Amino acid sequence: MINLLIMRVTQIYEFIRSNGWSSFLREIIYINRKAILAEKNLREVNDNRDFLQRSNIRFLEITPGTFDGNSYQYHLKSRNLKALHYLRKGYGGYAIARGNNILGDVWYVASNKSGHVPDHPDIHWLGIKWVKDYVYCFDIFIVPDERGNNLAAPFQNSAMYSLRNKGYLKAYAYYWADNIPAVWITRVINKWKELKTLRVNRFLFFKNIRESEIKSIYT
Amino acid sequence: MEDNKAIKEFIQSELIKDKSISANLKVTDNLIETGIIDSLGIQKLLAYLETTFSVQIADDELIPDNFQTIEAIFLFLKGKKREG
Repeated sequence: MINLLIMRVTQIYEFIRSNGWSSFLREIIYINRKAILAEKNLREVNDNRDFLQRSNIRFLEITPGTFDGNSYQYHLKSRNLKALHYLRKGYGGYAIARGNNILGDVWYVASNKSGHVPDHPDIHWLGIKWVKDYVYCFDIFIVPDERGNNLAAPFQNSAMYSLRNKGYLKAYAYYWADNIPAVWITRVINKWKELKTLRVNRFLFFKNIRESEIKSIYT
Repeated sequence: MEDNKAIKEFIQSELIKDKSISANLKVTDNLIETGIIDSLGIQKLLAYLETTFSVQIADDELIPDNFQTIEAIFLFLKGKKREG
């Protein structure tokens, strides 16, 4: 509980320092914000790690041993705390790194061998119907200095390719319609299929999902 | 055609770092597959288009058909202006 509190406080502090108070308030108080739930058939995903290798970037799976002995380090303390929190929760993760600096990470929830699914709040409010061979991906992050270097799309794709190689069939994710980079990467470049939109109201800790509608497919 | 030229100049000066690619850019080049418009580039491009051409671009208009080439962007804007 204390770890979670420290993580949240650090996250808020670093977010405000980097994006300002108004951006922070927009993240915790909003009306009628549009979320888009999308899926990717992992059998359609091809390997494109060449792009990352050409930029001298390593793609790696995050495990509890990843951070032993400072083998890999996060630029932001909140991302490091988040990674440790996610690993404790039983989530899986991938990262890209140059040298021992982690440039970005992405996380997923999947069933374990016994079929148990680690709890994740998004699965409930997004209304995802869980099937054993599906994964839910969330919280993709690229360090600010590396944004604009064309890393996010190949990184997301590499993570999906790795999940495909683990035998998963389908991935789900959501993004906010007002998050233009996320829409661009997921819808336009990596061609995820959009399933539905949800209208969300939020006031501090209280979230209300107002309605959901099935959308036509964009791509 | 002036709009077409302005969009091309913006992409050449603001979105492409490599000067040789910038100099050889054609209005029919695929801006998505070549990585010319990346996730940060699309934000810059939208801000430019909305300010310069006085249009509002909705999130559901962010589809490959509208942004694949400079020509496609031009036709998309033309359609939006016609809609009023």
